[in-house]
Amino acid sequence: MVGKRLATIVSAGLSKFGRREGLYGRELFAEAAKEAYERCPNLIPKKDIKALFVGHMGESYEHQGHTGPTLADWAGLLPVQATRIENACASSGVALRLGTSAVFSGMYDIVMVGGVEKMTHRTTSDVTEFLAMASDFPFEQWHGITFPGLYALMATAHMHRYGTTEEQMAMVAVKNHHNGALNPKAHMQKEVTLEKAMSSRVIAWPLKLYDCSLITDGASCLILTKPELAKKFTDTPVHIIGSGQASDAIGLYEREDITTLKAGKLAGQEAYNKAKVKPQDVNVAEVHDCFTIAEIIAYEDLGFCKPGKGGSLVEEGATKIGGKIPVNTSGGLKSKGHPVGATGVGQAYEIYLQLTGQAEKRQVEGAEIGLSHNVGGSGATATVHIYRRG
Amino acid sequence: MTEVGVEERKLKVRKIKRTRREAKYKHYPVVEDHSTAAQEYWEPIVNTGLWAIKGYQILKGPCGGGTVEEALKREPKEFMVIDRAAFALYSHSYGLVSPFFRGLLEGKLKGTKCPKCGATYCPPRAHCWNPKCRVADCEWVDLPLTGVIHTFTVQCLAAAPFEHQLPFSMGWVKIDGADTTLAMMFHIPPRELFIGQKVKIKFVPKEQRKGDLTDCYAVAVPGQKVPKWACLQKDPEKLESLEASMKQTIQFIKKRYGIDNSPEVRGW
Repeated sequence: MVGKRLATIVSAGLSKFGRREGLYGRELFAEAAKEAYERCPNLIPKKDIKALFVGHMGESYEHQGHTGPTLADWAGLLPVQATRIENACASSGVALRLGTSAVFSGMYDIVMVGGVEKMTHRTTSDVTEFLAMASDFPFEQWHGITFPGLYALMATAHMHRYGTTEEQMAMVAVKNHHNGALNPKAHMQKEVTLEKAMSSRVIAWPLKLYDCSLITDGASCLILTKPELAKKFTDTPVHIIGSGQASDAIGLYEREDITTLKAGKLAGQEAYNKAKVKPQDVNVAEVHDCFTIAEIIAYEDLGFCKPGKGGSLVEEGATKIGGKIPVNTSGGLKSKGHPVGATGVGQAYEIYLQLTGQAEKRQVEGAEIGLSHNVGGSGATATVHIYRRG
Repeated sequence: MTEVGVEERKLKVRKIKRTRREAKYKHYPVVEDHSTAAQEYWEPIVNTGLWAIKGYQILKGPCGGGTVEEALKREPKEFMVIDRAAFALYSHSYGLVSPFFRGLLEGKLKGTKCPKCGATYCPPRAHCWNPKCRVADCEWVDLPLTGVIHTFTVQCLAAAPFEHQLPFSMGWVKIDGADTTLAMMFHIPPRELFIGQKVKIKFVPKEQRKGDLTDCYAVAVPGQKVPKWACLQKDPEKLESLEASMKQTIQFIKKRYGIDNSPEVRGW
């Protein structure tokens, strides 16, 4: 018996991810909203949607803050209440959780959640600096550490303790690029070979170029309703049955154990308990693979395998489409791209497609239960959602 | 500007800064002032209109949702891309852990200790995080300049302020006597790095110190043998590929900044 339905996804939209030269971030959000409205002709946005929760990490990219009302305006929703949520890369995962809470609490019947980020117009070193703002200021970012650097520190410790290899990390990249090549909305729709990934240049040893996610522009959105209302809008609803979120020390330097993300583990446990499902019940998952080591750690934190066995899990092919538990069928952050504010809801969009049988070439047959796992920064925030086909 | 002009300007800037600060924080008199240089750097930028839009480009390309192929079928649109400098001079406090950074200026490493549970923090925390201690105020303690490597990485990409120092190795060091770990640059060749290595903390010359963590770095305690199980020792091919990437990075930095970061010049 699975858990109670907290809220129901009746529609979803995603902008094309990639280098969206020339466009404004908010225009990307309009593109995502347009798709969500087109999927749901019975919905009158301005009349039915009562609140907007959006994830957006940085005002530095476009020198534009106050994103909540701006996006409500561009999605044609004024004057609804609009709130921007900033939890680094987990911004829109948290927005999804707050939207779910708003519906579950009975405060609103229908809400929109989403996220946006426009990043590619800035130089890589600028973007690296803006992203580093999600780490501790005096003791991490002002010491030259970057996000690849922080995850590299975790990777070194993981290799040291469990014998995880650089090849196993590269296999995550190969798998996700394979899936991304099947996704028409992915940023980098091309396959890579293991040799190419292994011989790419080092960014922060042991992480190489192909171990790192992409700097991407993109926006995503979902329309959530009370479960009882879903029938009015769609024949293929997807119910959110579990949600969890946890926090950890912002500095990696104060964590008890850096071979795991404690917040991810706790968020996962909370979501599993609420949804009354077990890791082995999950048919398809989108996990936060900002770096390949993060995907390996996520397997372990979410209970897809025992601690230390994440490397072997990908090596066995269990997480490929057609494997025991397909992970990141969209291509993940690695190949679909990582517009930080849009990522959490972007993952939910892929699960929505998978559970409604719309994922085309990357469809996981008969998927009933899906999971998305969104991490902020180096793991100071993590949020996990579990979905069921309606 | 003439010599006299420069001096006048310096005085003026100093005066502006003093008056502004004194008016704003009247209960916090300035005890030591080392910020004139920053103000001098900043005033001309902010006062000569560099914030204005300085240029633009017109781009023409596909627009709208869907796949690239779908977008390319549509009528291309023209976009205007503007260039503007949006600088900021951040003046902000290190707060209650300020003594740590003053300690760095003097070549000392300080930590804090909870009087209730005895946990020692370096990096310092002003309050104990143990829930049982109820946010107790910590006390300052002096720590030794020795520690052990907890984990490490070798960076070949960095944020703009650190790019000219690439490539560099850094990681977390557990300072002897502390319970948490401190970020530290290593002046140790990557092929000699390993988890568990004993290190000594050194400081850059006094006149170069700025009161942040880059004032110190770690060197290996001599006489340690690199163990065979060390991650970078297992496979010579991977070590070679790392060193090739480092060489590429050194060339890039030389070209962009004119700085030679090769091991022969830096000595590590």
